Formats: sequence, C-alpha cells, structure tokens
Amino acid sequence: MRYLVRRLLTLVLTLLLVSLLTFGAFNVIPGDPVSLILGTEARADRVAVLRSHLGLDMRPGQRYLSWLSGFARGDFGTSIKYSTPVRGLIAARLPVTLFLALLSLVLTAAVSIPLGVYCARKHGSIQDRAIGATMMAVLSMPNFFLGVVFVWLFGLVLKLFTPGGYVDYQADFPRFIGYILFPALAIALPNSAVVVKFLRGSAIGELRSDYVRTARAKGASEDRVLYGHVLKNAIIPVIALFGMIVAEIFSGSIIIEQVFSIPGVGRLLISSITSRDFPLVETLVMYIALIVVLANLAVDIAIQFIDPRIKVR
Amino acid sequence: MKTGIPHDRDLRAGLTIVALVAFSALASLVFTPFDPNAMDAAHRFALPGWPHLLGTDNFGRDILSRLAVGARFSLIVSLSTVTIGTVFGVLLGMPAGYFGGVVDEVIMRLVDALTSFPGILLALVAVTVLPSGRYTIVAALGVLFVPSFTRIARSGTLQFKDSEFAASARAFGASSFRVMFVHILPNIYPQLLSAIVVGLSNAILAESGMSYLGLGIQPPAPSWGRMLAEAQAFLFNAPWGAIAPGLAIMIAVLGFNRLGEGLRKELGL
Amino acid sequence: MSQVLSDTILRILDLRLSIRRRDGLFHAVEGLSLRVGRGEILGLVGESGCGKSLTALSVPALLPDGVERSGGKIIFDGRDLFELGTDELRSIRGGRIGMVFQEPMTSLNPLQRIGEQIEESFELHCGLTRAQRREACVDIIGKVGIPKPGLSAEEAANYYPHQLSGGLRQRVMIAIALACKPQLIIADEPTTALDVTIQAQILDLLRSINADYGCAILFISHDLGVVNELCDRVAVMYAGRIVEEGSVSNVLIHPVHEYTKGLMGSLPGRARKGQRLASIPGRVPPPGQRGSGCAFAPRCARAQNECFLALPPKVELGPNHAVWCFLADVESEMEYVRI
Repeated sequence: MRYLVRRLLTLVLTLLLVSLLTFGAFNVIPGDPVSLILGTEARADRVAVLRSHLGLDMRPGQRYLSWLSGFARGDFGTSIKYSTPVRGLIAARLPVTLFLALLSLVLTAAVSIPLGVYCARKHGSIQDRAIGATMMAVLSMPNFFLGVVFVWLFGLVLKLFTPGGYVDYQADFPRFIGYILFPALAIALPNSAVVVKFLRGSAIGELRSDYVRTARAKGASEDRVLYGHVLKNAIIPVIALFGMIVAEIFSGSIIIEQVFSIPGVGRLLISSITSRDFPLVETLVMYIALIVVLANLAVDIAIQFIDPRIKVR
Repeated sequence: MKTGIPHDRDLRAGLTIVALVAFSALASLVFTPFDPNAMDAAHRFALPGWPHLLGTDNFGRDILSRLAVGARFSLIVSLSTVTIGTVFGVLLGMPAGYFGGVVDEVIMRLVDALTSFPGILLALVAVTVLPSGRYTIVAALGVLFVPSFTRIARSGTLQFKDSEFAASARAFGASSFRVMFVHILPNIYPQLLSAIVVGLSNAILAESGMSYLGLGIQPPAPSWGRMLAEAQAFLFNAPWGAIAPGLAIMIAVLGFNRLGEGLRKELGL
Repeated sequence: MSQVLSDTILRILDLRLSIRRRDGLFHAVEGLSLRVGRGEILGLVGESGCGKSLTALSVPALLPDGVERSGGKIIFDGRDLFELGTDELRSIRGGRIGMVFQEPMTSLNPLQRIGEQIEESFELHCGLTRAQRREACVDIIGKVGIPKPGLSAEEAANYYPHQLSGGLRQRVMIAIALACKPQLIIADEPTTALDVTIQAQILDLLRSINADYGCAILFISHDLGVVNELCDRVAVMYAGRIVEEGSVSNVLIHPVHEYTKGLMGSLPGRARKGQRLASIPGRVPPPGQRGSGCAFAPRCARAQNECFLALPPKVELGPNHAVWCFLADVESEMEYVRI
C-alpha cells in the first residue's frame, strides 16, 4: 500500500515536471510567439487579440497556473489553425491512435514471445542465426521505410488494403482493423526485434538454471520446460523492457500515421507543428507524455504482481 | 591501432560502407553525374541503367546524384548532432562522475527526465519552438544524444577518477578541471569513440525520419528522407524512387553500426 | 544377463564421460563400473573434481552441455538406457528414477508454488485427476516431514520456495523425487549445503524412505561420515575411476587403498561437512592430466614403478570388498572378519 502511494506521488511529480518543461519550451524559448505566428507585419489589433487569446498579458507564473488548471479541467485552449477548441480535435483522433498503439503492442508481444523462446531453444543453430540476421536488418531500417515497403507490398502488390483508404472505426470496425493491421505491423516489427533479442538472452540464461535441470529430471518434455518453467522466469526482465517499448510504439505511431495517412493524434501533431499551432502542439505533447508516463507506471505495477519474490505491494 | 587491413569482419564491413558513404558525400562537393536539381520531364521514372546509373525520380532528376548530395547532408547533420551530444555529454557527464554528490544527483535526474521522454517528441518540440532554419534540425536532434553521452562520460570518469595518474596529478596541485580534461578524458576516448560511431548511425536514422516528415533539412536540398516522402505518391508505378533512398539509409546505418561494433571489439570494450 | 542380475536395479559398465573443450576431448570419467542392488543404499564417495556428480547425472542423461557419454553402458532394471528413445527415457526420468540435487535454493522454480512443483511429478507419470493429484501431493508433503506445529501440509503446498528454509526445500526436492514411487533415487550431495543438524534429519528421512518404499538410493557425497551413517555399501572414486568398493563396514573400517586410508585418516570424528583432504599432499588431477598409470600414484606414499605404467587391476578381497591397486595383498588382507 505504501509503495503504491509513493509511486503515485512520483507520478504526480513527473507529470508536473513534464508540464513545466512543456510550458517552458513553448512559452520561454520561442521569443515572441505572436510575431512567430502572425509574422512581423501583422496588424496591431490582430496582435492584441492574439496576445490576450494566448494569455500573454499575464505574467509567466500566472500563465502557467492558468494553463495547468485549464488542462486539469479539460480546457485545452483553442486551435489557431482550426479555430475550434483543441479538445474536440483531439477527442476525434485519440481513439484511432490508441487502437493503433494497442494493436501494435499486442502484435509485438504475439510475434516476439514465441520467436524469442524458439531462438533460445535453438540457439546457435542456423534458424537462430537466420532470425537474428533478419531482426538486425529490420532494426537498421528506418521505420518509415518499413512502412512504405508495407504500403507497397501489402497494399499495392498484394492488395490486402487500399493505401490512403482509411476506414472509420465507428463506421465499419472490422475493416478498420483490417486497415490498421498493416501500420500496426510496421510499428510492431522493429520493436519485436528488440524484444526477441532480449527475451532470447534471458531465456538462454534461464535454461542453464538448476530448476530447469530439476524439471528435466522429473521427465518433463523440452516444450514443457520452456513454456511451463523458463518462460515465466525469463519474461520478468522483458516486462521491464515493455515500458520503453510503449514509448517506442507511440513514437513510431507518429511517423507511421503519416505513412499510412491515418487520422490520428500523431498526424495532427505533425500538421500542427508545420503551422506552428502552439496550443494544439502543447496539448498533444502533454497528452502523449502523459500516456507514456502512465504506461511506465502500469509496467512497474505489473512487475510487482508477477514476481512473488518481491514483497512490496 | 594496428595498420593494415583489420581482421574483424564487422570492422571490415563497416569501414567499407562508411568509406563509400563518405566518398560519395565528399565527391558530391566537386562532381555529380548530373545536376541533382535538374528536372528532365522526358526521362521520368527511369530504372537503373545508362546514363542514369540509379534511375530518375518523378521529376526526372538523377537519383544517384541526389543520393550523393543527400549523403553529404546526412553526414553533416549527423556529425554535427553527435558532436553536440558528445560535447555537452562530456561537459555534463565528467563533472557528474568526478564530483559525485549533489552535482551528480542533479545532472543524472535531468538526464533521466530527458530519457523518459520519447525521443521523437523531444525533437518535435525543439523543431517547433526554435527559429526555423536550414540546420534547426541539428540543435533539435543534438539534445536527444546528450543523455547517452553523459552516461558514458560519467561512467568512464568513475572508472578513472581514483586511478594512479589522476591521484598523482592531484598531488601535484592540478585543479579538478585539469585532472578531468587533461588526464582522464584521453583515457575514456575509446568508449566515446565507439559510442560516437554508433551515435552517427542513430543520427542518420533520426535525421531521415525528420526529413521524411518535412521537418528536417528544407528543400531544395535533397535529403534521403525527403526523397522517400516525395516518391511515396508514385509507389504504384515506380517503387524504385522510394526504395533507392530507403536502401541508402539502411546501408549507411548498417555500415556505421558494424563499424561501431567492430571498434568496440577492437578497443577491447 | 538380466536373469543373473535380477537383484540389481542399476548397473554401470565401463562408463566413459568426456568433456569437449576447445583444445580437445578430455575424459572426466573412465572405465567406471558400479552396481546398485534393489533396495540398497550405495554411497559414491570422492573429492570434488573426481567426476562423481557427472556419473550421477549421466544415469538419467542429464549431463550438462559439453559433456557426453563416449563409452560404456548404463543398465537400469535390465535395459540399456542409451538404447531408449527420448519418450521412453523421459518416462523413466522422474517416474522410475528420482533425482535429488545439491542446491535446494536454486533447484526449485522460484515462481511456482511448491505444491504445483510436486504435483507436476504426478502429472507427468501417474495419470491422476486433479483432485487426486492434490491429495497425493498433500500426502507426500506429510511423508517427507514438512508439516510442523503451525504449518499444515495444505498450507505448505501453497508456499513459494523462497518462503521455506533450506532444509524444508530439500524435503520438497525429496518429495518431488519420491512422488511416483521410483525404484531408484539418485541423491547428489543432498546435505552438503545444509546445517549439520538439518543434515541429520535429511539422512533420517532418506533412511526411512528406503525402509518404507524399498527404493534403492545412489548417494553421492564427499563426506565419509555421512556415508558411514546412511549407506549399506560404498564405492570410492578417484580421478574418474573407482578405486575401492564394498560394504561400508569393510571399506571404512578396513580400507585397503591408500587413498581410502587417507580419506579415513582426515576424519577425527563423525559427521564432518565439506572436509578438504588435509593429510594427502597434492590434488586430484583434472581430466587430461592423468597419465596412463594409476591416477593416484603421484600422491601415493607406497607407489611402485608399475603403478605409473599401467592401470591397476581389480582385486577381489572377498564377496563384499574389492580394490583396484597393484599393492593389494590378498592373503594379508583376508585376516580381518568380512561382513
């Protein structure tokens, strides 16, 4: 119980730090945001409107608190480019990105766990080395290149989906999944490569343990040893890795959404950066950072529950 | 380092590829088979052959020439990025390791906070808030590399701060800064060197990603990422226009990676 | 063959175990023969490095990577184990041969409750329903003496290994080995990592299992005191070969081989744990450095020329005492009463 409280405290502090950094980045560094947005030849009255809209007539400390409390209330300001509340823009796109990220996570686990165990079982063999080489090749590919190759291969050549033909998840859910399957795969493959390498190493180490010898002495088959004994032990350090993997999935989704023209949060972020739509960018950055921090917390908590040797609850 | 052809396979492969990339980059300063920006409507989407050795893109521009110039920009940006990362990493990491205590705590907390942020997000934020310019990307990406170099510099410093030569330098009255930068730094250069080379491969990846998004080097300067983005629209008819820059990025990244691995083994790390 | 030795459960003939290293193949165990009778407790004694653990592991074919059987036969209940297919071997492992290992701390899966780990033995060999398995598990936990005031068998079954002491963990290992009522239990230094008092309890347990279930025990140890307490017969091993074997009373009270004498001489009292051989100068030669004569010759106070040149033959001193030595003088040795 005490651990949970302490962890939540760390969470709150981290989030405050992130908010401070974000606010600092967008409000301190750019110099005069108004001239950045409107240009230097802007009319005085438009400048005044924008200044008050952005709250620049307040002092920085006040502005931060006002921004922070607005954020907590769900008021994220108004987009400069779209002239609509940021909240609405994000609400429409966030579920798409979340589905994509979730599917990527599931695919990563589904691909890397069996592969990792398989490579550990056959380590040193040709199959193991072939898979290792493939993983290394995948890791050297820029993820957007992998995405483009997928668009070409699965979309244009094999015609398994229509590139650019995004299907709304509310309109036709199965076809929506059919569409985001391929971008999710593009995100999942490089991350799988990392997990496979890690899991393989962990499992090979576990295979040398005494308890594996005991299991074999009981007459257990190799399959049973691997999946019934080794996997549970080997996967614990891998779960810690998944915190980083989640961050990578969200980072990857930003680019992959661009490659596959998916109307998610990442694509919105890119377009709002090019148009220097500060309120929108600010909020999106906070959101993504929030999700990553929460995911890391979830991973930490998961580890507590999986390993019975850890007494802290 | 020994002279002659190195035996290690990684080292050999890495050196070959890096040499190729560097050669193309340097050569592009004086000569390219065609003007990289010259459009030739009559010869669009040509496949590799003669006279365009690697074909042409959707505007009829020679791909080989564009790749060569792109190599130059990739190298410039990644070298600058890694330099920033290394310089600031050393400036932060060595005092952290040497002085320990509060200095160490503060610096490492900062580094931890930076690493818990998804890298691309950091770069995107930086690109948004910094004044736009041809090489804004360098500053944006440079920040990404500071944490890992800080860690390497710090651990290297921890290794050597209580060594004999450091102790004797202090006994002779050398200031902390002198001990760090004149005595310890030359000893940690092997770790830094292999990290720099691997960092270059990551920088090339990162830069190409930002260019793909249109946030990197601005056109008309050809960059590999941008070439890929522009060619994507024509993927159905002419996939080669996208595959060529993609392969170039892959090969360069692999090359630097292998070189870094080989160096690490060679230097006994 | 099997008719004549039907009272033998395990027969090892001329076993050779080789270690594959970068610079070649080295023999850790060579020409090793021994016999365990049904229901008998045989002790296999030697210093670390003599190959006794490898010998034990070779029976259920659990040799570590890099070690292989390069010669000899292992005959269990009349069948040569090396001629069995994987499935048959697996059904014997755990089903008819149980193993108890030295390190109870690491030999149990840290993430699984001990009840499940014991039930796995039942699951693999005994074809019981889930409820029956649970019952059998609780039953055997009781039989190996785990329950005590404040800890019932059911409660203990739900514990994780790290929640138990070393002695209790070793009892769990024994329960696992015993679960399917094996004909042979191979115990590789089961008490070495335990306190002296706990050691005595585990030895008691093994003795009672042997009495109640009638299973043979191959007990590996470097501790002569323990072997003296528990075993019926003993085989002394040096540098990959047996140098003396026979009933415990014959070998330990009237040792003939110089090495056995040295081992006995370093025991001022009973039940000494982890004793280094202080009285014989030198150390056990590792595989590859053993020469072509008697491996003990370099350290032997009575070594003659012929000892360095050829392997000593087996000399039967009686129905229950044999020694491998050129110097064994049958007549003079026969003066003591043989049991």
